[in-house]
Amino acid sequence: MKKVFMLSLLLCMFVYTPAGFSIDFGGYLDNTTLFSTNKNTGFYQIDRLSLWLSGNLGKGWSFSALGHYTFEMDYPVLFDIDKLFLAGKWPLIENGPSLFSVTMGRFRFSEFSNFVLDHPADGFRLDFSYPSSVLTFELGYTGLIAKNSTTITLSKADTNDQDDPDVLFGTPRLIGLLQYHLPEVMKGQDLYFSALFQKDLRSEDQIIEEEEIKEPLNENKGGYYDSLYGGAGLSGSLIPSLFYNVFSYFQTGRTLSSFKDDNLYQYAPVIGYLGGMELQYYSTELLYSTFGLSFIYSTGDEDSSSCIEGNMEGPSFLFTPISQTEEHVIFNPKLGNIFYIRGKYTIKPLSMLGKGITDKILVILDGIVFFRSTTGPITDQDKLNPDSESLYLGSEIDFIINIRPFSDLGMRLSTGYFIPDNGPDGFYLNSRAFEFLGKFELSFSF
Amino acid sequence: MSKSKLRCMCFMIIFILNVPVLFAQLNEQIDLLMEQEKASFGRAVYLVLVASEFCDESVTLAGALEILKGKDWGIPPKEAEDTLTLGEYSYLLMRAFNIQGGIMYKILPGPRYAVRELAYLKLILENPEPGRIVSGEEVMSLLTRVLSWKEGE
Repeated sequence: MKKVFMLSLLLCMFVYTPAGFSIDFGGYLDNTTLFSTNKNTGFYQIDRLSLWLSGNLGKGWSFSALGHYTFEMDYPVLFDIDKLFLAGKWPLIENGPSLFSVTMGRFRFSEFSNFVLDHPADGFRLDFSYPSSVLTFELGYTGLIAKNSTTITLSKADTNDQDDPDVLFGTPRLIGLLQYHLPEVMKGQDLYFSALFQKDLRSEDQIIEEEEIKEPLNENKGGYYDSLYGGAGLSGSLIPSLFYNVFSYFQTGRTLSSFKDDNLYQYAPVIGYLGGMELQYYSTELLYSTFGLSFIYSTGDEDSSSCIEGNMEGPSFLFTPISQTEEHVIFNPKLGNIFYIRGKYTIKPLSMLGKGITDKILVILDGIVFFRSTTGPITDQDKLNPDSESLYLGSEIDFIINIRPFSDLGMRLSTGYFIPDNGPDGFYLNSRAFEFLGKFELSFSF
Repeated sequence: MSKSKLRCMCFMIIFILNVPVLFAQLNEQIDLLMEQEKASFGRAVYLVLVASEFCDESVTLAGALEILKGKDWGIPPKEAEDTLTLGEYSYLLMRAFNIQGGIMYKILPGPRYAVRELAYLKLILENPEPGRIVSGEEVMSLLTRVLSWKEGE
């Protein structure tokens, strides 16, 4: 009886839409097939079915939900909710902002650069829009995101959880963001200021106490990793068709450390820096070409033994972003002791044949040269040469073809070639050879 | 300049600047529509059919509805003063301007996938819910964007 009632209620939701109320639903089917010369990956298959429901509730309120089921060869069953939120938007508040909006539930938290934070969390967001500025405040919790969907791994306890099959959810952390955006602050220039924090909310019984004796080393537990970030960014166009983006972040916080000349665990301050710049030139005449040049620099700590709780002397200078970005086809070390220069070229090679399917083919050529900022560790530790003093890590060339023949069907073929620095004094051992990764992605929405 | 281009430009001028020139009846209908919090089906049909050159601007609203009935577009008939959903309006625009949809639109042509297509083309900018009642102002702005997009095609 209850089932019949629920079914009737659902049917009513779809069939009957009172004034000001409307809903829509749909889904996506995504397939990823990849092949890599890396023995740990080899052939790999990922299929994902996502379903969404969104609606307008009237009087400025709306809701949105998106969940997925993913089949992966390593994780055959993986359900998660990507977003589930209620949002309200109200214009022209008297003596207040010109637009005020509130979002509550699960949604994506991100700051302006996306290099420090771009991750789902459960919480709320407030936007105060004024004619010449937008103030945003976000507060959220990451401990209810499925473990396989999270990219936040900041402490030893987080990495232990990743390996523990009994742990289902991601790291329990409180995340806060305050961002001030000044659109068109000067002619065509956007200015951003951002302050973020993340606080580890693990209970004390999961954590090594400060001043605990470290002999023997406790491999099962780790410490707290808390951090604060302050940044600014400027983007816009210098001359027609030439666009730029510069940003800078300072980080502070604390990390559990095991100093060389002390047999007690101690917390040490974190002092890190991340900076980046990007230039892009668009040319519609040259078959919609774009030429991009960018670099990213993040500080490292040469005295550390690893990127997670590896500090052994003084403050840790390793920059650690909250979430991890994957910008490249193969080599994606977490930002922190990383410096890279990137050149990117995109073209629509058949656009001269006019509008149609030929206009929907985009070719991307991407070249990245990776360095480490200091001789300290980076997150990619696979087959590294422990005696190497080399700062050069390797180079990657990516070749990508994007085709979208219909609005609801997209295909992407990516190939990546990573040439590691595996010479006699290279960063990697000779056994880490040239790597190739080919990936075919297909996305269909319905 | 071709006749269709000229007509399109005139539409744009009237829509954007709302200058009362040339098409008196058309301009009157635009003014009435812009005042409507809930756009009427008849006026939206009239404007779309005039803009897409399926009828002359001198035709009445009832005449425009008759012309729509004569088309095999699968749009259910409604009274002139009935309200209009975003889905119905998007589907009308897709049919009138012969906009090609995606795979799902080809399989199941109708309001639902018409909205998706126009949202994908960035012609519908927010709240792409097919069941939502549209305002007169929204009817005008969406028609203007469709005309502008057709120009660039």
